[in-house]
Amino acid sequence: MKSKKPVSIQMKLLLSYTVTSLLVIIVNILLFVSINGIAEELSRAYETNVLLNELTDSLERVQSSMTEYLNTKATDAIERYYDTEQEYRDDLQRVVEGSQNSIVLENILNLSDTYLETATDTVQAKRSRIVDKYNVSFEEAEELYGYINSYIYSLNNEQFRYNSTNYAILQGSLRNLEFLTLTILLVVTGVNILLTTFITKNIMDPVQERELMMEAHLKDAELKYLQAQINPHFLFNTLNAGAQLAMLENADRTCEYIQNMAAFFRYKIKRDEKDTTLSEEIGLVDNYIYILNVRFSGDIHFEKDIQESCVNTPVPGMILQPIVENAVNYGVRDLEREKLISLRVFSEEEEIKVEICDNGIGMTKERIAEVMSGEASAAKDNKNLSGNGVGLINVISRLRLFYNVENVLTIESEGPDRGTKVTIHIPKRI
Amino acid sequence: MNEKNRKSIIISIGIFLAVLAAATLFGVLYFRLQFHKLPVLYQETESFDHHYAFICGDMQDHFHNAVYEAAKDAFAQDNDYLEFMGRNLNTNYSRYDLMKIAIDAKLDGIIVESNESDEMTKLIDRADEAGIPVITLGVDNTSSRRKSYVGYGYYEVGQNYGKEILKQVRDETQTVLILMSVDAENLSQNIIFQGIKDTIDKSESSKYFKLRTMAVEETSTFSAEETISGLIMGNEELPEFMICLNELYTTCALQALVDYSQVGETNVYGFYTNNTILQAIEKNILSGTVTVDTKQMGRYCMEAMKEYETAGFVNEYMPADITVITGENIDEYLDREVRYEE
Repeated sequence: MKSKKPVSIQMKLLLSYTVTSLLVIIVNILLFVSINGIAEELSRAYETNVLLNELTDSLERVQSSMTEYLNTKATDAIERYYDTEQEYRDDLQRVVEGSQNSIVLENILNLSDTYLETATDTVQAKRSRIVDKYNVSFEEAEELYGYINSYIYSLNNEQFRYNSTNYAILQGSLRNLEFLTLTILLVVTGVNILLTTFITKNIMDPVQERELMMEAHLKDAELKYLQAQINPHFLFNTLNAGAQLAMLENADRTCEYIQNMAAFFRYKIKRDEKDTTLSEEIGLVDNYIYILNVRFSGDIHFEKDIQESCVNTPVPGMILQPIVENAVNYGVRDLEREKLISLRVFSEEEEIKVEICDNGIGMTKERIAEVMSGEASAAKDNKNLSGNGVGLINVISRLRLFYNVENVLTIESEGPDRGTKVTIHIPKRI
Repeated sequence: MNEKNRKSIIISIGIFLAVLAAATLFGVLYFRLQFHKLPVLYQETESFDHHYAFICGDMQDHFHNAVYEAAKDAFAQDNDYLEFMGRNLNTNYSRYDLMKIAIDAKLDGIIVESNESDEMTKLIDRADEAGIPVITLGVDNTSSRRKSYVGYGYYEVGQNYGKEILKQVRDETQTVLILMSVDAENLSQNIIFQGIKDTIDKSESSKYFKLRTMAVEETSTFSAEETISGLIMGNEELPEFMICLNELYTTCALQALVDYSQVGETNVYGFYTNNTILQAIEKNILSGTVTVDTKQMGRYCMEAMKEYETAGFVNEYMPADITVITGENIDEYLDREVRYEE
């Protein structure tokens, strides 16, 4: 496998989010642009009609200003006439630019030319007071005005029909575009989901990898555990052989010692992780103290005060010995004075109490709190426990699980050098 | 594994973007295409060299429409445009108004179904003054400065009617009723009548035929139909022969024959052809019709105009062929028409 720096989950999520968002944004922008285009065209669909309407209006203004001038010969009327004439020409130009070239439009243009010429002639004739002429040419202009109006009206109608067709087509294409938009968005959403699935699946892979590794480690640990179990068996058998040898040689104390050791290891093999009774637990403590006393030349004094009615109480295995071991290791080991450990089992109203007291160096309140909360470094404890491997917190959690009660163990100490008392509270009703 | 996945992610994103781009492009193109599909409002004028006017009295008339279509096609071959004046307008203008419009709109030439009225003469002369050549169609205006007259021989039409009637001579006197318009300006029908009269008078069996005319009121829009229906359903005895001198009278007459169960009671001769008239001849409702080659007339209009433009003068009279269609030759006629269309 290539050693590539693995992309973090955050990065991958960010990537998937960014890519999918970008896709949606791009699609939206493209569609927005297209729809905008159509909307613009739609709004322009009737533009020519608007232009033609304006043309009709300005034609009417030309005609009325001319008529007004002929009626009144007023100066402002003639000014208005020239203004409106120019306006009409401008509007005409706009219509020509805004619409398709057509026969009708060409007719309008030419008729308008003639009309404006006639109108100007009329106005001039009026100025020169040629009454006959301006009357005739006014009639002509009026006739032309009618023709042009009729042409514009017709063109307007035609354009309207044409524009309506266009409008319908544009609307149709708008609908198509809407459909396309919806389809594209749906496809994008679908692809986004696929993409996200793909990317997040990729995220899951390293997790699975780690799981595999953990499993492998576990297997490894299990193997080591099995190997570790072989040793006590071997030790137990060899110890038994040693005890028999000692008996044959009449070395009674050696024999007893070895037998105690054998019993201790046998119990370890048999009882680890299983429930047992209080009496068996006490027996194990006896064995342990015996072994220790041989080791430490009998200077640990062990006192027992056991209420016989309590000994058959079921307890989880390996709970007393680790506490006693702790009392020896942390409490009394380095004492110069007499080392005393006492075990009391007695019944109270609600519970059976198992007290393990020592006269050792005692504990501060902080230390007690640390131990109770499990903050005391497990590694440190494990190291110091020299191989038995069962810490106090382990005992507490097993007791809690076993009895389903929170308050299962208390530690008391009156201060430095005043000893420690560990009490196990076994509820009578489980 | 990661390498592979990354590659496939990149490829799939690429494909997706390509598809997306294609879809959007397709959308935009489709939209553009819609624009190209938009109908063209009018033919563009820029592409035409000249712009001519076609003016006639009755714009619905099949005869004039057929002539117009033929003439328009003929002009189009020269890259010119012939406008059917007034057809695009919402106002119904008279021929005289349309003439004025054509002149004031400075068109390049006018083809007009004229009459002999003074007003028409004035307008034709005014157009001529403005440098616009006028060709009269169907009905002439002899006193004007029109450049040419494209029509058909009315006298010849009359002769044809006469010949058809003479074929059915009997040993008794038969009445021939000729339906004529009250329009005094329409001199052509007088010539047709003369043709019929002369043909019959000159024949040996002239004594067996009695000619009568009837004026069809055209004072209001639908009065022709009323007059003709009145005649056919009336209690008076129907004449043996009825001659209708235009398409409208013909159609009205044959409809009245069917409506009032008078088929076979009289021999009706019509003018011009349309689907109704042709079917009526096939079914023997109509005895026959006299028709003019409209395609030829249309072509003549264009030729007269072009000839005048290039040479400065043109034949004063260009007559089109006249055909008589009866039950005997209708199949032949239809065959020829079909072949012509093809």
